[in-house]
Amino acid sequence: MKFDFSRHIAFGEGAIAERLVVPTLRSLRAYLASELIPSLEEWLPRITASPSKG
Amino acid sequence: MTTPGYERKLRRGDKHIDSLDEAVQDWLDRGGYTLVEKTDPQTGYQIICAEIKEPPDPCWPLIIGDAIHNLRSALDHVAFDLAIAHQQATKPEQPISAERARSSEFPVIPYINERTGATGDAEHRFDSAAGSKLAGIHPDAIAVIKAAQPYHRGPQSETHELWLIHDLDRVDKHRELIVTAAAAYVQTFALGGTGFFPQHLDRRRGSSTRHKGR
Repeated sequence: MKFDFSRHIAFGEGAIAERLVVPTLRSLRAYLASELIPSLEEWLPRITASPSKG
Repeated sequence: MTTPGYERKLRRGDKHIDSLDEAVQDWLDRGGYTLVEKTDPQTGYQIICAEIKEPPDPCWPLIIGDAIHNLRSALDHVAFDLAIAHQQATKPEQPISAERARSSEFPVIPYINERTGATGDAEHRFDSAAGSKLAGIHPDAIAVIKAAQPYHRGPQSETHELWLIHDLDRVDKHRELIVTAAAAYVQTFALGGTGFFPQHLDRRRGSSTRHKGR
């Protein structure tokens, strides 16, 4: 029988136990930079947008 | 032009995430754990265990906490910057008041009232929190923040990005995040002599059908 785990770690602690750490952190960061903050840009102080990562 | 605080917080978070990623990959490359197959003598079942060869670095939870804290702080910086921008647009001669600056915060409202367990008052909880935390922000921006709240997902609000950031930050403040060295995510399996076939993880939000085993 072959079994191949994904090369990831996961955090424990109840509801977050099933979440993978690094991909999750990057995904949360991307949500802020690509979805939430741009949706508020119209009301934020005018600044030069910097490239976002994630 | 100065980089806004929320952008600097996001970049700082990137550094933590990158350093964690590197540390985890190094650990995996060193063979941090191996898989062992055993037969349960009582049931005859095949058991697959992850045997930890090298314990994960105890610093990992601290790095995770730092990364999460930077993301949460970025949200609060957004709220404060929105207040400053509106103040400058409406009363440019007056600086933002100290009280308003102190109470400024990006509210994150879940579906379930954590104090009472009620589920029907989320909108009221948002409006109440926004009254102080988002005071002095353009009403249209408040409407956008309200529309982005986790409670709109109903019972699934704990899967919302804002809730994860908010809740993980709270967990990290009061107790250490627990890092599990290995976890199996199996979406499908096939019988017939070839065993399990874990598929690529589906990272799309709200579409998880994973089953977990350790």
